[in-house]
Amino acid sequence: MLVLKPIVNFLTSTRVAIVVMVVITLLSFIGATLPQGAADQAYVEAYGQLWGNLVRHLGLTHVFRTPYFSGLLLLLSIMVFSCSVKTLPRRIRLARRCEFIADEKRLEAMAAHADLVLGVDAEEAVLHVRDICRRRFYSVYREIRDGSTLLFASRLGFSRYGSFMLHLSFIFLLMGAISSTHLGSRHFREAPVGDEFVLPVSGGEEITVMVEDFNIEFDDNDHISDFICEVALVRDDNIFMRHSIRPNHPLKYGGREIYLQSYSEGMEGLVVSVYDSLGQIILPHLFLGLDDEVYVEELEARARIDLGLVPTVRLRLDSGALETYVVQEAVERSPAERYQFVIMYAVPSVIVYLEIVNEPFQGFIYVGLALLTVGTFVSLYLSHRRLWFKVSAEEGDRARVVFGGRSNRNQPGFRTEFEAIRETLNELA
Amino acid sequence: MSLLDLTLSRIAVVVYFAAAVITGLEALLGKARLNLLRDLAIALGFLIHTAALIARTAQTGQVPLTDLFEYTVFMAWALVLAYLLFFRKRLPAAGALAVLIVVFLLLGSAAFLFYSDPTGAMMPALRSNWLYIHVSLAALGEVFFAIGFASSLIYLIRKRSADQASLDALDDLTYRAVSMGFPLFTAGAMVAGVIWAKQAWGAYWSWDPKEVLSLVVWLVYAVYLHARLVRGLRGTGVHLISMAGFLLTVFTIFGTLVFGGLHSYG
Repeated sequence: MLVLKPIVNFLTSTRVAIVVMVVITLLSFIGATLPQGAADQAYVEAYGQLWGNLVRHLGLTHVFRTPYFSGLLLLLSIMVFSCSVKTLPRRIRLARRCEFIADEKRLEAMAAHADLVLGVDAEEAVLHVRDICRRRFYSVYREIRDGSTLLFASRLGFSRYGSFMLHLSFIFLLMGAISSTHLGSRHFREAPVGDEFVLPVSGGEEITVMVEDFNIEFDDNDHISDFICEVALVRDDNIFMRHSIRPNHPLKYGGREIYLQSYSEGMEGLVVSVYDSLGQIILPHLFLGLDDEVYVEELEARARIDLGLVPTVRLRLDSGALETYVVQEAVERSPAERYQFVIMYAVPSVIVYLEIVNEPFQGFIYVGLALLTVGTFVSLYLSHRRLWFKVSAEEGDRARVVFGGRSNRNQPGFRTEFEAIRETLNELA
Repeated sequence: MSLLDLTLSRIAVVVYFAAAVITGLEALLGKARLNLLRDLAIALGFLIHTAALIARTAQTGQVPLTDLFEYTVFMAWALVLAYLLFFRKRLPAAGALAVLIVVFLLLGSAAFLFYSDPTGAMMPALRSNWLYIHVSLAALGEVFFAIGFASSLIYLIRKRSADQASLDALDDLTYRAVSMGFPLFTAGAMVAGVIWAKQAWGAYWSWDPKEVLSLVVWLVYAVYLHARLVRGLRGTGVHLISMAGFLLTVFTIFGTLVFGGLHSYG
């Protein structure tokens, strides 16, 4: 225990917490203002040999992924957790304690207190007190001691847990941040429209993402209002899902998220769609660069030329119109023979920039945000109000009620309520 | 291009300046009779300011919260509204003057430095309902921080001369303002911001300069509330924290001009 005490004191010290937060803040400033993740040489060129090397050696080129930054976040999480654990028993005790006060001096010492003699007997006075409190949503407990009835009324005891919720929210958010930094991944992918790429998803499965189309929408002032990338997800040569990825509308599948971050025009090439003679789509959109040559044997598997179907090529022209060309004359239906056709038409194509994100344990973040919102509200706006009454019989079928109360927040509001209770009881005087 | 929004904003700046002069005289000379004139000037400025916002909304066809000009005009407007609704009778003339100076600086910088073309493009990433939730709640939170700043400033100026009751009233006022602003700022800047960032950029948190600065503002006010509520502290220390919080808030708003980053459109 002697060894543990200084450790606990260190971990629950507000001063140490403030120092840790200041250091995290300073590092965050550096990380936010210094370009992160550039090539080592870029820092030397920008800041000179000495400072460039210093920045590199201190890990300031990737502050948020350094072990010391994660260590500080972890330390802060442990400190917040320790503080929560340390203060929780007291909070529970205060929230749940049912305490009766018979000592009138203690009641009179409270900031809000009153002493009334009511024109009803003690039993009726107790019933009135209980009803008044219950109408105001207090939980009322009763005990008889030395001929007097003691009442304890409590409301919103759970508000004592407000700051505990805030502490918990902090822990959840930090855990979410640490797990997403170290267990998650994100990478960018340039994909020309018509291209496809393999995407590993959860469960060890791999799917193919086909970038089928891209469109830009304009508003009344001819400004770009939206850009949309149509993708298809393919498994075992079958399209099982289509989705329009737009800003604010990512594609989520198999624990992966695909965001459309940007696009660019200008790469010259051809977008072709291949249909069979029955009009069934075989290859929705295939981007072919100007110098590309597409061999029949490459298309063979998809176009199923060996089955005797006649593929056609659909050309997307500058005007946006589609023209269909039958390429049967270029194709001999022998899978063994190697034929090719050369692209004859070229149009500017579009490259979309996709960000593929794998972020496990996202639940931590959402739980943290929910606790942060509720905890802030509970901490600031709900107060635990407690009232203690001592009701004793007086001569002539009358009753004396001595009572006092406390609130942990919003003292003016509590005083107003206390006065209202006093006034209501006084009507029986 | 109609410049009605800009013209009205500039007229409002002039009217608020006049209101600030009247309030300054009231605070200096102690003439309570001037407060009617001050309230009239503020109300007139507010009406013109409201008309400027309506004109901007009509020109852009959307709630004016999309860039630095619109944000600062909206924030100044909300600050005057909050003052008129909640704090007009509680803040002394010197406090009202501090609020008016903040309004004048915000609206003045918007109208004379940051005006943006209302027919300009709005980034597709901004076309989300989260924009209105995130930006408006954050701005409202910052408005209450501004009120807290004003009352803290007056507290510190009057610390030696005023009686304890009026100092306690200023102390309560600062707490009231911060406790109103903090949940709004938490919900808007932090919670809605984090959720929207994930939806738009794919990351809850990108260590963007504005994100980091907002977190620092949040931490500073969390420290203020912790000191005030848990430790029961009052007086100079907590008022310095409240003032530091608002100065950092201003730095956060305009910091994108210096640091750039993901929030550089606003």
